[in-house]
Amino acid sequence: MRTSTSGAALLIVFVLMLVLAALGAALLSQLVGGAKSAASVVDWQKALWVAEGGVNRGIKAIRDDGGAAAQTTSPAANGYCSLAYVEGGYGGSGIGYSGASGSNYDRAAFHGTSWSSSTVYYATLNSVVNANVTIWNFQQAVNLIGSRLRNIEIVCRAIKDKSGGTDPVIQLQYSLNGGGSWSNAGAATGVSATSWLAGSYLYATVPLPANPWQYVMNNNFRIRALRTNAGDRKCYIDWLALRLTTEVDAPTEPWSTGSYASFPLALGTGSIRSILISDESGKIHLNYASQTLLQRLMEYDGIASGTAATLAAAIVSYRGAHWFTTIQELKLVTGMTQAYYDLIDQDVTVYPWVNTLVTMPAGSRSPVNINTAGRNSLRAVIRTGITDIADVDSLADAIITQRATTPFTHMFSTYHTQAATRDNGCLAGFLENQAYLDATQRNQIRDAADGSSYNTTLTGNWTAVAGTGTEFCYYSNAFMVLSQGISGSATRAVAAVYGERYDYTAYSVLTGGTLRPIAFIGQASPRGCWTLPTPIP
Amino acid sequence: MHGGRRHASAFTLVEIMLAAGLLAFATAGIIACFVAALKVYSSTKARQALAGEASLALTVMGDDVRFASGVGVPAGGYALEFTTSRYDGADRPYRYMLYSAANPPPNPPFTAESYSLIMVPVPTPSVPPDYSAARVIARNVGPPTPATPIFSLMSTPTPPPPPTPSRAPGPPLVGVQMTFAGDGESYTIRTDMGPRN
Repeated sequence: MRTSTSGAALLIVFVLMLVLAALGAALLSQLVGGAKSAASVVDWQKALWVAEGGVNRGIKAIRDDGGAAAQTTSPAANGYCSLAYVEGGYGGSGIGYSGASGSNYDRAAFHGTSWSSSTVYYATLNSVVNANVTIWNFQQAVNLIGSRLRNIEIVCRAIKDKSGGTDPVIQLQYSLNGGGSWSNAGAATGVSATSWLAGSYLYATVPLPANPWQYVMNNNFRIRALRTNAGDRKCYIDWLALRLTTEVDAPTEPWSTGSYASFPLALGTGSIRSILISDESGKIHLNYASQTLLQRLMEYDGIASGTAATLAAAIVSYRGAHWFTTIQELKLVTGMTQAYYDLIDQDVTVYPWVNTLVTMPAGSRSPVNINTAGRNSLRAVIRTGITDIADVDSLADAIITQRATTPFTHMFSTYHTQAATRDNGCLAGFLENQAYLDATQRNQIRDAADGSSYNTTLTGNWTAVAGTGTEFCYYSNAFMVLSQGISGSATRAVAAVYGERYDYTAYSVLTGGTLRPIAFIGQASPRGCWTLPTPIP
Repeated sequence: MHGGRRHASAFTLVEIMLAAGLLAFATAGIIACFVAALKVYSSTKARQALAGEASLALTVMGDDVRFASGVGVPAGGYALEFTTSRYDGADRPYRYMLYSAANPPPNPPFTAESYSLIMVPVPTPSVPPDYSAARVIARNVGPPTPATPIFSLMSTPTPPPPPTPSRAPGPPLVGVQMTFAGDGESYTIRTDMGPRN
């Protein structure tokens, strides 16, 4: 009987082949996976650095926003623009100075009457070397503290008493130590005009320190017009003042509109899919907002009033022991659920600047940029000032409409109560235009919102008072930049916080601080996260 | 006795040849797969090494540029010059440049296949460059070509004309494109860096 063993070899070979095929398939799979992995490593890294490039482009757009003329306000030397105008006080007693006492102390520091008037007040520098007029006390410039100070100029209008003779030579100077020593600002200039014309203005820029506000706000900062030659002609000065150029951040600027680039933006073999820049100063600061403000914000964000009150109290309690360094820490607050967190996370922050000048409602505050704040943040701030819900909404909407074309630049102006001369960037003037608000409401909003800590009477005369609320400002010093990079099949995101580095405790314009105009406070890192600024003590 | 012969059949020649052929084919396939897998492994390893090197180099450069002032790129885009106080506290000019012992500076022309990216103090007439003491940022960097410079300064917006006062635009961004090559692999990476202070 024949045993059926024939063909076994083929069978064995087939089995072996099956095994080997399986092995081969596994290897092939490994091969394909490995190849993909290799490509992925490359694309992963490329996408990351493309995204990093996107962050740097976003930061560049923020840095360049000074190129947008609309957001730069320049005080006019002739006083028509009250924003520009910083009144000095208490004239000095330099050699040859006259008209420096009594009610005439401000003759050279304030162009008190229309210069087309027949009466022109001026100080006189006699025809001797070192005759001078000195002024200081520029603290009313605090009206502008919610904006970024970009330039300080000394403005002087001078003429000689009659034609011919030797022109008086004027050197504009400034002192940082109360007149102990003086530095020249610009070059000495001969005064040849004999009538009060625009051409008789002298300008000189003061070199900016790290914290320019410490110049302006410190009584040891003084300016003077110094006569450097003797001669046979007196010099009249009817104006010696500071001209401040300030800057705001608004949604009309390229960093906000995105007009600086179109996406996707090719970069090497990859592309930047998007760059998103959000203004952190348009949000409510978790470490500085009052409990009431936090509550109002949460209410407007959709949390029931009772819960919002409880959560606001819990946040205030939490930050008493744990300074918020990220908004994610909100989840550690008692009662804060993911659902609540998701409602408010777009409206809160931990990064922006802090105004330590204010004392009400409870110490230092971090103002909200009225030009970029979200609707709910605006409503929350306004709601801390007035109680009429409909008016709150109307005002928030009016602010949003106004800033889309004309950003707010400051709080008060000399003319804010006069409709004909009201300038559009003035918040107080804007409030005057809102007919649905009564005078009491306007005052309440001003008290709640004035970032300067100063108050004013409605007549436009400056009156310094103990600090009020400070919930609004006009510029930003912290931005979140988020960029997505694409390479092949990989997409990576990198985020950075960019803005001004500041010393939280030293940021006092009265005592001097270490504010740097623009610096880096966040680290755009390959890990797609950012390092935090130095914790606030 | 023949009647009880068992038909113990052997493999036929055809069977053996067929089996051997199939086995050889399968084995060859497997070996090919192995070889390819080894190549992929080697390639992946090389790419990962290059990616790591590129990442490190770009991180270091990015930090330097971030805190630098006076950033400049000589014509040709083969070097980057900047001033920083990061290293010894005093503002000093430094230069990123390519260096190869086989094609020492001055360059261009770049004739070597691979260079190191180094950082050196900008030499002065009295202080010649000491390349042996240079800080090596990366190795295996491919040479630039006129079409693909390593460094480029990006344009910056024009500020509005006077008398409108405005902040001058910030310093320009530095475009960086480097090709890293080694172990048969090459890896080109592109990013932008910017001074942030």
